[in-house]
Amino acid sequence: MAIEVRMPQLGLTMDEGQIARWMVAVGDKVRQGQPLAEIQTDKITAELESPGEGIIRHILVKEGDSCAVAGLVAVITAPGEDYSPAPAQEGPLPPRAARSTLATRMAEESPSAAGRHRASPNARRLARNQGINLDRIAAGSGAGGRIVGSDLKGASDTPPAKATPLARRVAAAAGVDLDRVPGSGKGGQITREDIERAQAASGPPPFEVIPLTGVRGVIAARMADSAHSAAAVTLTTEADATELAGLRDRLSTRDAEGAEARVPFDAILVKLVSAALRDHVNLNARLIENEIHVMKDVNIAVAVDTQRGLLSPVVKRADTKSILQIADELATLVGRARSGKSQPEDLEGGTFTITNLGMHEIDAFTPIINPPQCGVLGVGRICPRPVVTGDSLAIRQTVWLSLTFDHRMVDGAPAARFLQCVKRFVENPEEQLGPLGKAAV
Amino acid sequence: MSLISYSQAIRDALREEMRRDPTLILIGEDIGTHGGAFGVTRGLLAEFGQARVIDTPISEAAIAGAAVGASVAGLRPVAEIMYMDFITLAMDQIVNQAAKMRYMFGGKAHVPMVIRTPGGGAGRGNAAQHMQSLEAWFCHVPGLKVIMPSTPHDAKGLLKSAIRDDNPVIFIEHKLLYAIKGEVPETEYTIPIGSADIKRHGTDATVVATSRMVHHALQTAEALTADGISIEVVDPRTLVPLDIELICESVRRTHAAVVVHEAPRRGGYGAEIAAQIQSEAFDWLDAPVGRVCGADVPIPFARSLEAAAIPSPESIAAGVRDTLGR
Amino acid sequence: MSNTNSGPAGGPPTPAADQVQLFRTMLRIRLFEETVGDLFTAARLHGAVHLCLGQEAVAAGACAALQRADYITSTHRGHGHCIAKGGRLDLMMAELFGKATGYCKGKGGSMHIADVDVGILGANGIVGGGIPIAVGAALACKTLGNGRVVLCFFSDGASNQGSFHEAANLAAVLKLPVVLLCENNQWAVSTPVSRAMAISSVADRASAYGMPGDTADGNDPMDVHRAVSAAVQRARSGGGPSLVEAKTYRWEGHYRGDPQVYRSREEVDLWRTTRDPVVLFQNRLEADGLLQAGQAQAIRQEVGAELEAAVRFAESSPDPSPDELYADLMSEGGRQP
Repeated sequence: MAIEVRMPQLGLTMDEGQIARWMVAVGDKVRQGQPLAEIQTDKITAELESPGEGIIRHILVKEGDSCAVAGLVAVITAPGEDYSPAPAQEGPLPPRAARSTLATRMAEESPSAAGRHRASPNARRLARNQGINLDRIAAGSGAGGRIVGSDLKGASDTPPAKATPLARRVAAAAGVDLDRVPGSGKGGQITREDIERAQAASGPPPFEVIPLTGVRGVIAARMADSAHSAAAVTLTTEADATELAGLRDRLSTRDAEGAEARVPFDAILVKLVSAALRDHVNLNARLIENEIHVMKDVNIAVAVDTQRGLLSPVVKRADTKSILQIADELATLVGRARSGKSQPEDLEGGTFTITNLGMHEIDAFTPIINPPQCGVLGVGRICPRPVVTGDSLAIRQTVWLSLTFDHRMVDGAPAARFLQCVKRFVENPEEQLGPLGKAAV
Repeated sequence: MSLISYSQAIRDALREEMRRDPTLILIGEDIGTHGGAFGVTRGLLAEFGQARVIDTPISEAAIAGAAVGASVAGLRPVAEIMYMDFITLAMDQIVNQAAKMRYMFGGKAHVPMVIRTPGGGAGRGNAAQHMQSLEAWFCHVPGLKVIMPSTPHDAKGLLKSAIRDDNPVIFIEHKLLYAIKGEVPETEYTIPIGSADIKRHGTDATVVATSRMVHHALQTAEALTADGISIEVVDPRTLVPLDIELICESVRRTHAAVVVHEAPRRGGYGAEIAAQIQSEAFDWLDAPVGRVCGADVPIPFARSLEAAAIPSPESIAAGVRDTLGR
Repeated sequence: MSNTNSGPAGGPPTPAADQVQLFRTMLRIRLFEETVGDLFTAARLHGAVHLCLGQEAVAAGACAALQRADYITSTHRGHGHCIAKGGRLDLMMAELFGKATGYCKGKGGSMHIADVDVGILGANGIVGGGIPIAVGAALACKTLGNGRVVLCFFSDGASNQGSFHEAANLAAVLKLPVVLLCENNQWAVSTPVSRAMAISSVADRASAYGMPGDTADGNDPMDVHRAVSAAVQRARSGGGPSLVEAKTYRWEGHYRGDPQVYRSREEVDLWRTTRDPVVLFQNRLEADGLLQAGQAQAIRQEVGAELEAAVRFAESSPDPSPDELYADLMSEGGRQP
């Protein structure tokens, strides 16, 4: 019996995966569980494990190519097994029911095996002629999500064709890359004159192209979605950070060589914010379709800047963990994120986000909500600032806290009360929450 | 215009051509006194006599071969093979002799003969050896023309053209179409061999159907309008030479194609049509070309199985939906 | 119906000139086949050749009983039939060489040579394939009332094919002007006649169809001529079909190069040395004073020269051009309104 190796579902939002690297070749003997390939999604890298034992008979997706989740990537057979696809079922039934051969199943389930887009020949032709980038179309209305000609109708209305047909011909003949030519026509359309200008100019093109795909593409789509759907409101408050700094010093440890291991502020903030969320549960919520789900667990996502873009690994049930436990966990999560090795579980389940730009000298800002969460706390830099105490000015360590919340789920006053609570905890962490030292929970 | 049956249309074509051309003879089993197994040649013996309406013994090889020999020696014979299933007994004369004589002889001879035969017929319970649609075999032999009309109008106009053509023509009628009626001009007309016909205009998919399946497709078209799906029904009428131009012109407008025929799917002529469509109109297709065809089984006797063995308006609709993803 | 040119059945002997002409025809066949055999063995011809060496009397004697407008259908072993019916040696040779100047423009080859203008409706690669065609042609002759007859050459092997039985029956039922001439050369590839049918003479089958049957010595052109003339006369006068069996012997294997493991050398040698129809006829004509001394040799030389010219013509002719691939598949003609 042939064993089918399929693209696994890794993560709830995964649609397709890329075979980054094959670790076996056709003819290799493999064991159950043996890693066969490295799979890359827009967020994570994972290993594809063999579902069974046998010999690699076919590899159907090349390195660098992608296919949809559950798509067929390889076939394993027993040694010496004669492999041939199952005979097709014939009949006057709808063609889909009769197509049971491996090849046709493969085509049905991994229709993008031929290319990045699941687009029909007709759609590709129209896209070519009208200068439409098929990346712009998320899914098509054809069978199996195929992009078909009618899906391009809206896409071509706004904006107009990237280049005039004449400009296209001239560019093609001269070998000029349209992506590198600024357009002076209506709506930035590239005209023949633009091509000629570009040809006349010498030197490197005036810009570098970063395609909006992969992690960048996902972030772009998420942020746009958040901006367009949430009713975002940002509240700010300045908190005294003296106690916070002091707590951080007390919690720092020295390891065996005497080097100091400082607990990051983020770990403390995770603890404090999660405690505040316990008292203000309505901020620990998600909006799913028409329902607000007030989450039972407090899972704090911490925004991490990585080379591939912004990732937010999640500390689960942060309120039940000690600061040191949180620090440990965070170190591991951040480490994986920065090296591109995050597991799907790392990034799922967040109910509230903390984003800290203090290391970049940012005071206050308007962080953007990570949908479907209700709120995100932006943390600015901790630095000495003039404050009024009594009648005089003093210099204190302060930190600006910026809370953006989704007004669809929560009103201003409750949100403000939550922020106030966070401020209290930041200014007096142990007074509010009890001992938070090494031995404490 | 008069409203006449498919059978009558064929008879009128034969009669008119026999009156015009004294070299036209009919040869076949039971075509004289009996008027043909399906009554198509009724009355022709009385009008034209035994020398021109020839009843033969049961001997398909001799019937087909005699037509070949007669046509190279100056006659224009129309031979009838009673059921298309029996054409198997005449294969050598059709495939090795009639189709090849002109070419093998360097263009010296021509073989102006027509073989008329009814194919199909699922619905009558005639079972496996009396209901086959074998057109694919003849489409596959260079040197033959193959015609499959679906209406009285098309049958008459095309049979006249087939008779006048100087090449061997396989003219495939359909048993269940003999009784259907359609409008036919009362004045003289012919239909050019190799011209397809749009039987119904539409926008969402091109359904290419042959013979009786044209009528099923038209029913399907009616039913699908309720769901907002508009299909264009194209009837090739001639299978060889195929009017691929008209078919592809339609596909370029609709962006989807489904081919329907009663003959079994595997190796059926629908595969040739589908291959030509994808070759000529690939860039206009939104989906692979679909095929809704007979099952790859001998036609069974039991009514329920018989019905399941060939396409129906429902299965054609399902095929269209499948192709459109709707 | 006019039928003034052929003599009455079994009537007075054929005039002298005709017999020399018969001899010349037999020599033409003999030398043509020997030449073709040698060319094939020397690999100057490709495909396959089926030679009728030893059977010359059948073709010559039978075709001498026909008029130019009459038709013949032939077999895969048809070079002799074509030559006897008036086929040109140069055009035949060019066709065997696959040249554009051949009878069929190089598209037919040995087994499909045809010259419709002299009534040759083609050699045929299908055993028995020509019999229904001959019957059909006879149907046309009768329907058109043009007084022509059809002579159908077929072999002992073909007489067992379904097509023979169907066609013979139809010819008899419709009373068609066809002569069914069975050239019984004793062998169908490797099967001797004795193992291919349970009767001893193909002619015995005639009564099964209600037509007269006759046998002739296939190695004596005069006897063949006698039997076929009678059948032709009968057909032309509206008497319907006849079956004539001419018994002869196939000298070569089924094809040139056949190792012939199925029969003995002695048997073949016996026929070649003691029953050579060309030698026997020449001897008789010389004995009867119809051939002068040296005349046979002179005819041989003339025919030899004609053959050499034919081979030269064929070899120097062009191959068909690639554009010819699709040419002549379909006729553009048709009856106009």
